[in-house]
Amino acid sequence: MSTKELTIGFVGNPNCGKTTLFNAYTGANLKVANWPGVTVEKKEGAMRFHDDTYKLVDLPGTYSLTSYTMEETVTRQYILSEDVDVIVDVADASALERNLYLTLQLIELGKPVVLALNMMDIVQERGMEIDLHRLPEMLGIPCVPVSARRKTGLEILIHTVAHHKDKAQGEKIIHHHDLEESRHKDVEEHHKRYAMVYTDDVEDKIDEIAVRLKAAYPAVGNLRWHAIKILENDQEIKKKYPLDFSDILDRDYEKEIINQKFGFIEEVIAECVVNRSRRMESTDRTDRLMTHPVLGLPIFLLIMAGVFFLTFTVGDWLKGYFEIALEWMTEAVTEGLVLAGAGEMLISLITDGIIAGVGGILTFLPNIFILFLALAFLEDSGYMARVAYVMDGIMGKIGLSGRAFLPMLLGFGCTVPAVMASRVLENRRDRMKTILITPFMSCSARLPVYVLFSELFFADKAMLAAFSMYVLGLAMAILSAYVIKLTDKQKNSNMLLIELPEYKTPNAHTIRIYVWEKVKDYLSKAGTTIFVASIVMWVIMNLGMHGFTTDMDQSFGAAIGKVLTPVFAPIGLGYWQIVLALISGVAAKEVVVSSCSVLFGIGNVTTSAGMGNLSALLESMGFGALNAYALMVFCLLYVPCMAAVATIKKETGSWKWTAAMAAFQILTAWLAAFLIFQIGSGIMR
Amino acid sequence: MAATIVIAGGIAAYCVWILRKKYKDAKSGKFCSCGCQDCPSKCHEFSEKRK
Repeated sequence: MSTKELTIGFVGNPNCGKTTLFNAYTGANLKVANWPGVTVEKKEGAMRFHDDTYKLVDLPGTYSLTSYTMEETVTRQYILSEDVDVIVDVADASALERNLYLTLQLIELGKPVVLALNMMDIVQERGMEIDLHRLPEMLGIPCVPVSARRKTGLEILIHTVAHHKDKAQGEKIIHHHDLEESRHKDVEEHHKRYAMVYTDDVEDKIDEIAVRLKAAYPAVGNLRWHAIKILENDQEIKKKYPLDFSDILDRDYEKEIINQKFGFIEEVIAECVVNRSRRMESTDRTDRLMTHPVLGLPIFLLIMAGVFFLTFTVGDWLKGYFEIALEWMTEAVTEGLVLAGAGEMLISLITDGIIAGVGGILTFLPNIFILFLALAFLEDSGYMARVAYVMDGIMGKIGLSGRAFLPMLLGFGCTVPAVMASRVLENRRDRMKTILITPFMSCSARLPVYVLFSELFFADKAMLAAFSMYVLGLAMAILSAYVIKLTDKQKNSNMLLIELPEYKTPNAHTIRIYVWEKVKDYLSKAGTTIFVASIVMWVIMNLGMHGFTTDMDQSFGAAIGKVLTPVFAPIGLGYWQIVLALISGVAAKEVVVSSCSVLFGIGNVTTSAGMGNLSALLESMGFGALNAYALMVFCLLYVPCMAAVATIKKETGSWKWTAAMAAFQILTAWLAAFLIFQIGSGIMR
Repeated sequence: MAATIVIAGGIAAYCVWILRKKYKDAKSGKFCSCGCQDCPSKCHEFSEKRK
């Protein structure tokens, strides 16, 4: 059996379906979304084809090989390395003219390239046709129609890759230039060898640079590509080969090269794509409304309100069944432990600590499920990219580009990937600003806190109270960025360059992967972090100076909470139990809820009976609706969970920055809760 | 008494396993449960190295 290994790099524009194709081949479940910039670091996988092992590399999307952003740099460096044997250029066949620019650059690299015409299902749906005979003739590389979503053409594509691995260029290329008009001495040879042949004056320059480069660096590979890059004034290549080309580079050739490439692309499209005008019509119609300068933002807020309506109504209906199961389990486990002869302390640890903590969190699973299901639908339909476009105006006013809103949107799910997604931003300043404000976006872990406290204190207005947290988080993020902009002397001009993908029917497989990953993450967190946190909380609440105590007021936990109570009193949270719950929430935000069970000595605080008991207890302590709202606001804005803090440290590379960010968030949370509580108290007086 | 020791021992062992795993994960750059496939961390690279 052969053990040959071939490395295949998946390259393409953002949002052309590279990751879907990669998943289809490797069986991986990497996240795909219908917006650009999902992959910001290369991912590797393996597959078997016949008896050979192929290594597949999914690279971040890029529009060109002139690297400006971090993900474009990752892609370029990898393609230029010796590691990749064959490049699979994944192109969105329904928007071929946009994708072929990169294709031409990849062909110029001189490595074996296979063009995967992805999304052929959409091409067919629109009644478009692609001349699959003429296209490879014009480009000089194999072009294989595939649909990664429907898993069609995959076998042929990999078969083509296997056969094409040694061919850097097609054997015969039919080109558009009129040979008779050209005065270039090597024009016939050029047309035989290269897909893209420029005008005579540009070709002359390329030849001159190549000759000089060859003389100084005889070992340099693919002279033509290097010469074109130098002609384009590519700083990285010029730094690598520091020769004086000033006599050749008599003017700016970059724009000319780009224009000539697009000129060729127009010819390719005119010859190879039929019924192109039908494309985008429905998307354009929908976008006139969705990205409307005035209506765009209210539509977004309305859609998000719809998401939370579903999360509350459908989620709560399902939550009821989970609560019944939790009550039943608590009774069964208690009876079992008594029968087994377990000690009173152990029974308390398991029922009041573990089951109340972990079980309480698990009852929110339906809400989490519905939230992510709705977000997955929005993402995969292509709507989320429109939100970045709609927000561009507001983001511009706060010194950021609409592109910064993409990581912020991810923050609705989890702060960790959201912070990492800030890598899509071009400069470090913008990245730092985005990292600072992203934790204000309300992540899914905070949802249980909102559900519990809004249902306890706001009855029929519970949904509105919870939704206001999401709007407040967004407003605080925008306000913080605006304040930073006012104090920031360095002004950046931030232009949004984002491809608005076509609207499409969400793919069931993509949604299943997305939702399952989030649910799995939630379950995993409940079984690990929340499990340990519940035990720790039970221990500090049941141990005091004199050992095991049933009087929580005498526990270590109470002593810790009471020290900090004065700090929290002005914001309406001067209760040692609440202070402790908030501290425990740094481990994971859901722990605030699980801690309440232990701290208030109520088993299963999330069930109807438990909620009734907690509500009565809190009210007897003088903790009312205003305190609950201040708690929700503080929980929304204060320092994110440990995982997010560690990620911020990793991304900023500085403990000083991380500590400053945490301090800023705690201070912002305190101030916001203070204003709400004090103004609210004043009004209610 | 025996039941108490066995169950408490099991819980303690599970807690130790969780903490050890979390510590090892944090050392290798994984700060969360690594359930989000959209996360650009190294968690989900199932390259040959991992095999």
